[in-house]
Amino acid sequence: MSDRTRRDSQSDNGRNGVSRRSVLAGAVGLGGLALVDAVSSRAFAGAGSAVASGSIIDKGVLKTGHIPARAKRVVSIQMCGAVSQVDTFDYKPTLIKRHGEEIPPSVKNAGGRISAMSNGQTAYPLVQPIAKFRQYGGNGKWISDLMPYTGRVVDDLCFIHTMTTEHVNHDPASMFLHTGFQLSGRPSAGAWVNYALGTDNANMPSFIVMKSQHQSSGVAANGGLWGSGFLPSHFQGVELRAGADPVLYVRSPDGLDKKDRRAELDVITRLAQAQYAASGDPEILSKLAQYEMAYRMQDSMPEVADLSNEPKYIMDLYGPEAHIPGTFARNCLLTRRLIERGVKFVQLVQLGWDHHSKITARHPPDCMAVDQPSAALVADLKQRGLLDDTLVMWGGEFGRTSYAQGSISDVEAMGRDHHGGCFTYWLAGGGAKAGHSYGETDEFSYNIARDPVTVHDLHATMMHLLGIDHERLTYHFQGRDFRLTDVAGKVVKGVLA
Amino acid sequence: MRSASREGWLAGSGAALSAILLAGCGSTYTPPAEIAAVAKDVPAELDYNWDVRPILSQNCFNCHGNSVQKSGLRLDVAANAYGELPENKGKHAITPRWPEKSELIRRITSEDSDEHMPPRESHKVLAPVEIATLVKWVSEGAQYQQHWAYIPPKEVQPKSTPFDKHAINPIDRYIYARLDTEKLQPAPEADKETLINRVYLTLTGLPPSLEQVDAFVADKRSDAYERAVDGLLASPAYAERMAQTWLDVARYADTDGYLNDSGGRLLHPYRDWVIGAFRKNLPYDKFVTWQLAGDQLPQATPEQKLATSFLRMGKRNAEGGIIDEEWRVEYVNERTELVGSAFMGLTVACAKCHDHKYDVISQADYYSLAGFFNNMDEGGIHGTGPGGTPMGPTLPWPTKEQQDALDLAHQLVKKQQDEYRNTVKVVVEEVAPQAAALARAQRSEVALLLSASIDAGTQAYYPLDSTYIASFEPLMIEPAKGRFSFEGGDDDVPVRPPGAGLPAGPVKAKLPRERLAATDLSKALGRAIKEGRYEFQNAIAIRNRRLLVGLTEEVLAWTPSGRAGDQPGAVNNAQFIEGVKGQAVQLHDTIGFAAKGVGAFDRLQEFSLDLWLKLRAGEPYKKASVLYNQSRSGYDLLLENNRLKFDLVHVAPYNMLSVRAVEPLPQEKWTHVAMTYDGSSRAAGVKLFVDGVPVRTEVYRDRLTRTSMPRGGHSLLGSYYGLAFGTRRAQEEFMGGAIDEIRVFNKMLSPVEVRYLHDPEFLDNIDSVALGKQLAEVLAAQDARMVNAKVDLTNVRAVEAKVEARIPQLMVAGDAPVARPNYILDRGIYDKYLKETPPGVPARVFAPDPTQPLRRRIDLAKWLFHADNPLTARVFVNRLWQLNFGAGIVQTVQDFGTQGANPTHPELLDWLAIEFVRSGWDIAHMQKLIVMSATYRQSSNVSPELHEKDSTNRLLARGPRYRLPAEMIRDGALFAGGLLVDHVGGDAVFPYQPDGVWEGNGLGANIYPSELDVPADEFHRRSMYTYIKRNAQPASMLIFDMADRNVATVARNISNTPLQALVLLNDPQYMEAYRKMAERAASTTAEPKTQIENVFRLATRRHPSPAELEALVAYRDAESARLAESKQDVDKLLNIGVAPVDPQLDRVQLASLTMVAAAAMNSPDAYTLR
Repeated sequence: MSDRTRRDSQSDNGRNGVSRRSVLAGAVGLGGLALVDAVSSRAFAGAGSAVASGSIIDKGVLKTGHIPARAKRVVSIQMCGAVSQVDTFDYKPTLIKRHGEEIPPSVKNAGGRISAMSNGQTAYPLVQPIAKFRQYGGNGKWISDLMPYTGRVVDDLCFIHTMTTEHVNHDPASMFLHTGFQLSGRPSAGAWVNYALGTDNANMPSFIVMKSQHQSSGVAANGGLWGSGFLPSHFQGVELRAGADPVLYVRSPDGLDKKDRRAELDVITRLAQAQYAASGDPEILSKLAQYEMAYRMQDSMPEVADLSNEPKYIMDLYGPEAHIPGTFARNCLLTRRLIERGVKFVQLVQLGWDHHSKITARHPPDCMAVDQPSAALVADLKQRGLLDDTLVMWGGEFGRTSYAQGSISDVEAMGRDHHGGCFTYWLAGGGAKAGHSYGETDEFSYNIARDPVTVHDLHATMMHLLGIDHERLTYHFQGRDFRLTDVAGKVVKGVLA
Repeated sequence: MRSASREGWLAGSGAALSAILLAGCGSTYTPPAEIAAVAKDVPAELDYNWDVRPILSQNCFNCHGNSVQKSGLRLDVAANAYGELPENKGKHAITPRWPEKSELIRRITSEDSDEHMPPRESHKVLAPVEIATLVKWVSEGAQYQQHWAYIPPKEVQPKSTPFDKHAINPIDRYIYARLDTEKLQPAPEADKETLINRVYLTLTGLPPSLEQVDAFVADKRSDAYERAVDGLLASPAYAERMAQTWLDVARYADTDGYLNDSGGRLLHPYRDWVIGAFRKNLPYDKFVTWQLAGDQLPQATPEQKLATSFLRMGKRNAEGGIIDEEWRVEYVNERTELVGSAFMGLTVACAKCHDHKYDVISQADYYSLAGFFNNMDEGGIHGTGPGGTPMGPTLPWPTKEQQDALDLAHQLVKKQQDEYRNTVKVVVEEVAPQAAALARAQRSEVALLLSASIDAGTQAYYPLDSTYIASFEPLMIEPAKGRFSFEGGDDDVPVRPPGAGLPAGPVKAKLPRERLAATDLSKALGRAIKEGRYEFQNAIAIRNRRLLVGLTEEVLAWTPSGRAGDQPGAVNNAQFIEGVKGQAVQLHDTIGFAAKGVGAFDRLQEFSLDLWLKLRAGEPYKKASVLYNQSRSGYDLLLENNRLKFDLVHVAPYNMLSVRAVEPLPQEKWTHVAMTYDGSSRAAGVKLFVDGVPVRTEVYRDRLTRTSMPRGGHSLLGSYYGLAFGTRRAQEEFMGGAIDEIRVFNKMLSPVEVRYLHDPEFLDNIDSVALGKQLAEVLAAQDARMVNAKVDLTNVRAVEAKVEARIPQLMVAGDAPVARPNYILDRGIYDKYLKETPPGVPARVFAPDPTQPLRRRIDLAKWLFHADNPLTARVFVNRLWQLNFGAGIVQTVQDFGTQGANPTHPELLDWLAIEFVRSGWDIAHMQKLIVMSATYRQSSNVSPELHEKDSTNRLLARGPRYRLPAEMIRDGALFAGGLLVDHVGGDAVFPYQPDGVWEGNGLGANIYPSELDVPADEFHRRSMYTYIKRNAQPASMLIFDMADRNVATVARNISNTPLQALVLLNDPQYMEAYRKMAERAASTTAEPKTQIENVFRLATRRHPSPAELEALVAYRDAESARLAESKQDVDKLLNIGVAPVDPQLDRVQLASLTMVAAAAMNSPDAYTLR
């Protein structure tokens, strides 16, 4: 190749770190076919115009991490709609004492943006937690009665009480939490991890998403939250769905069993071999590799979704809803099965929570739906020795106000508005400091007293635990090197074990 | 631009490097050994743009570029790089021809890690060959050059090559020149079967039929191929194919995106316009100009305005609670970036928050460019008005019938308006003597007349005194009992205002059901005055009563008592101060609202508002509502910079009236204000009064074509639709101001009535003649002829409203009448204003005449298509190239900036750009040139050697080869199965989709119609007509990298995933198509081998090779053996899809042939352009 060609391709080759590998472990089984060097096509894919061959079964752009990894996998549990931190994990006795009093203006004014939902209110009275708090675990962590099961695993958790975000509307805040940017179009955290670390299981995608069914209206979670943005599209999350087909189109047509499918694939392979012989196009071989992967997924994905071999005590651990496909409980159990099978990044999306009104009636059932299963997942991973190298992350896109939305005189109608100033996240396993609480909010859980943690910080910390230097995992696109943490983010040392 | 000739310099002689460096100068520089060793890899003739800038740009400009200059060093500008280093006196980053006197060279070769550049923490490492390149560049004089893309295209003859005899048009000679340099040769022409398949797919997105293939293969004429090409370029399918790629650029989708992701906007007329534009081969300059600024063309046609929908296709946020201005600014930015990527090939987004680190777009440039879109007459919260009118500028899109009806209605209205005017003239003349007499008589009688007339038109009166305020009861119209009703029930007896100085007892309000006889009301009035009572018919109520008779939904919605759950009004958080009469309410987080129904007026009704105000001292009110019923739609009497303003809104800001007083109101002083409105839906029908006198006003908006009834309820009070004052969500409050004596009138007050309301004493000082004239108006208003004329006018207006309400409204571009100030925004934050900047183009890219200000979108379009603009033509021909070859000449089709890839064939790109302009921006001409070229027609087969040398086919020593786009794969299957419905345009369709794809993806998640509800042919329309929900795009197409349509996409990914295999293997849409392919093959011949051959041909449009045929025959035999044993499987397989099964055919044979089709369609040649 001439110097100029080298220069042309260099503009998008090499920079993304994908240029010098040959892959396609998945082409095994296609006896006699040469392995394909995916270098060129991967490099090309960076400019968005050609093929990324076989990379779904490779080891990612980082053959090894930048630093020793504490976690090999991530479970990211997202409470879209925003959990009320004051009613769950951020215990503030002052709110009980000063229930009904106006939030001090100095506190409110220091709290940054207020959602336009309540900025026309005439009064902002403080509201005490809607449930009692009690202490759990070795450190006497205060947890609300809405989350009793979480209380039981509290010694495995690391709470971050001082998460903060500048976004106070669902769509931008969720997008920010998932992709590090408030507008859609950037790769999600899972896609970055997939891109960086590849997969440990050639039979299934390494980034899997489950969206739990919920009666909630209004708050949505769309594909942008697990999209690949400008990364090649095979890095996006594959949705594992409730119902007959755990993955879209994974079920063979009626009238075709596994043996028939094998026969069909064999003839496709013969056709493809003939076409490769005629055209010399190696892309044909990577297509075949994907067909073989698809074939394996047709078994592996339904197998993951089939819980018939789970013992009763495990079903009981996750609670009664684990029997119902599509529930959060079921998805937590499926998460454990995916983690056992080496899936790198599992993203759970739970809707609901957005209780601008009637929070006293509506928050408790939403808590109940997630409390036991979340705790069960931690306990189950732990008893299998998987928690050590699996990082679990849990929280919403922002918090809720400690003052009432609506009138406090009408307790039943009252709610809490969006609040970006502070909210609580918890981590478990994967090198996070167990039995620990990080950061402190003020006595109103409204502003941060010390140690704020931004979404970029959270991402940087997650990357760090995975052995990735968040500043060095970049992708060149539209004239600049992008990263998950944009131009910010620092590892929160205080949450590392 | 440089020549294509690039022989490596100093081949094989690393040691000679220093010799070259020494040549012609006194330098004795010796590079480190590892650098010298790679000198042979450095090009012999260095070119800044090609060889040097990419290295500097990638490694240095981040810290030493146009936005950041660490240590004061700037390396992207020669003068700075040559100059003395500010922090290192006496030294220079670059001393041309003296590497040893250049800090740049010293630092990049330094072993000292504190000195080494780029610094370790940047994670950037210069390769030895890159260092050698920089050394050579400095040695040779460090010549800088403008970035290639900003230098206008220049026509350069390609060098001659031995291949030139194969050249069909100039394209080939440019390609050959590079091939020759690279020591490659072009491939032979593809066989005819392959070629016809390729060109059909490229130009139409559809494969040829087998008959078309056979006909072409048999056509031995020398121009057979050209004939085929001409036919394709003239076909509707070509237009659809081109439109489909454009819709990616236009981010066309059927829903809004963001949280709610609602659909329901009328969008497909734009899509169909795009198809039509390609159908008639609209030149590219017009095509783009119409989309950017069609509305600003002289005598713009509806079609030209429709084209501007392009600017409105972006995502729209309708989430409650968002900040309006923040999102309005977001839409402006979105369009700015759209124009950058769609037309200019520039990634301007980087400059939103700071100067572009690498390119010539500064932050000021970004906001200048944004300025072209900053004046769009829209807001940020993308709700719809009543009836679904989209927010922002709209274009009515009537059917022929609707247009005829509307024309008729307009005529009727005009006629009735004339009639009304005549009636006014006649009646006023008639009552003039009476009025004059009255004016000369006792002024107390005049006072009685006026107060009676005022009271009769009063719908509600709020003294706002604390004694009445407990439940806001002391309304003139007591809400719970005496609710004023347009329905005229006998029980609805308005009570009189306490303490209004009027006789006790109810005003008679029984409403006549028939049209009034033309009696002389003034006589009755005189009698009433004498007898000390009113016999005053409530004329307005009569008019409204008339309007209720069977007209429109819009009109029926006026009925205040028609709403369930009427409630009494209230004032929360009132603070009482001394008022004009008794007490007044001072506002402080206060909400006042009237009984439901009070003040619920629509645009066809006359009404008036009258009250006293006291503005706070100090800070003027930026924009504070004083009295309103508005909730998205409705009216709002407000203060804007302390100027009284009245808005009457269907959907703000575009479809509304807005009138503002020129002078501000005084502060800290009780001021009487009134607003009267005549029901005309015109700004001219609004009058504002201050202290009894009409004031000078300016009209800000004068386009109200739909109902102004409030929608959605009060932002804080929920389903409350009536008159209110005080706090609203997301709106400044009339904080610290005070209100007193609110009156609401369901008629238009005359000026003399307003004056009387302000100060009854004025009667003592007014001249009789003047008074007589004004009283004539009052008397005339009571005349039955006038009442009836007004009723008739309102009736025809209601008819007009009804017709208009049914005409769909398209979102288009349109500017606000008064330009918004345009600012540079600090770090891109919507309300952090830096310097004001007028709209303008990025002058460092191209500035034809800096003295000529470019301010409007039409100016931007002219700039884009200026003969010397270096980008527009290049960017588009590059995309055409990509469309035909799968990759652009500039591979980064979205980025022609310094960080983009350099063109592989710069001279060819320039020639194409020049030819494009020369042809009059003729797109079809360019398409023809490209597909006619020998380059395009080459075989796409590749040898291992060629693949090794050029795996991605940048050099084009072979024909194009890439996986087909999502739509082509699906359309091809439908076509092969004979299922494709070739109807062009129209509403989006809902083909097969797995259950639940839409769930949890915003509003309307459950509206995906069940298969039973989809008309049969809608399963089989071309894929471009499939409904695109932004948050859940069509599942099977998304898997094949369909653009997500959230932002402009100029190049799609071409990925390769197992999910794609699952779609082609399992999706019922495909299984159905495979069966229909089998049916077609089986019904034309009974010969099994021919059937298989035909199925394979339907899948690939070529004959199978012996190996392929053998494999398929064996498979068919095995499948038919299996299926013969299992009738159930046969039934299941044949049962997939809605298309009926041909009952004539043998079911086992059909099922096994279906599986043959499946195998053929899953073989790569079926879904690869080759």
